[in-house]
Amino acid sequence: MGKYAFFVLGAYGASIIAFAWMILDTLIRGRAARRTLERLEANEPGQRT
Amino acid sequence: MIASLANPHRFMRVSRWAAPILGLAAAGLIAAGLSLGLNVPPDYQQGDTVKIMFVHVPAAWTAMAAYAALGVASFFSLVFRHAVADAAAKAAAPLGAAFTAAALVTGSLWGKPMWGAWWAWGDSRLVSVLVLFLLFVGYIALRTSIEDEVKAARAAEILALIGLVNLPVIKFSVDWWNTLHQGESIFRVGGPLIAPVYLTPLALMGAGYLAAFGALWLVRTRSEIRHRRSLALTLRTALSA
Repeated sequence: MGKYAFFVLGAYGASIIAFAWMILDTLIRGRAARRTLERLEANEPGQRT
Repeated sequence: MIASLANPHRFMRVSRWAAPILGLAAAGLIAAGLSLGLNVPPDYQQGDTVKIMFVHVPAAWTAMAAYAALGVASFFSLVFRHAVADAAAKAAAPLGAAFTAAALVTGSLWGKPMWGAWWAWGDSRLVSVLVLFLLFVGYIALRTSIEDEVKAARAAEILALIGLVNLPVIKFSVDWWNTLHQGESIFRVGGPLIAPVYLTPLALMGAGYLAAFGALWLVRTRSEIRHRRSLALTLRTALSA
């Protein structure tokens, strides 16, 4: 990539960071929401979403 | 289709298998796009910086698609009071902001070696995409800053609907005004202007990014629905205590 390596690698690096944040944030929030609901539903038999 | 998914139980049932399918499709498409895109020959004018196109353009397309999704979901929530639509709108905003930020950063990294500038305030394409980012941030800020969830949702949805005006401005900015940003070269009357060797990986990456957004959007909407269900259960427990 020669003299453009900084720009090309920087662009791909920024994209990886954006994807990593989106995936991790989505999975972490998803797991927290699922666990909280499961805990609450344990006390509410017959109520599942 | 949209009306049937307004039922949270049906949405949860459908999204349970749709999200992983979209996620796998995204991984496959992006892997194929990268394997082709990272091996394209240098462009005769732009050299190897043409490879930035394969992450910049799909991010910009997906950012606009995310805003369209936010706008449509906000419309259904505001007009028809669909609870799933409101959850979907809320779920789309952070993803849209991330894709827009990626488009702005990668565009800046492409602009510096090609134009000699990281940013140009006089460029309508750049500024309209920055406005898109601010619309996403404004939507998130409205939803988090107003304590009353219903009022927050209504205010944010109105902002989202007003902001839809910005989508055609982004699309046609390169036609309406003189810009540093290149003119439309893909979705244009007469067909794409770029060579197939670049178009194929770009199309794969574009489809991959959109599938990734779809998968993450479904998962975040599912989480939002579960979060609301948890709040309802907590409230019911508190009231019955």
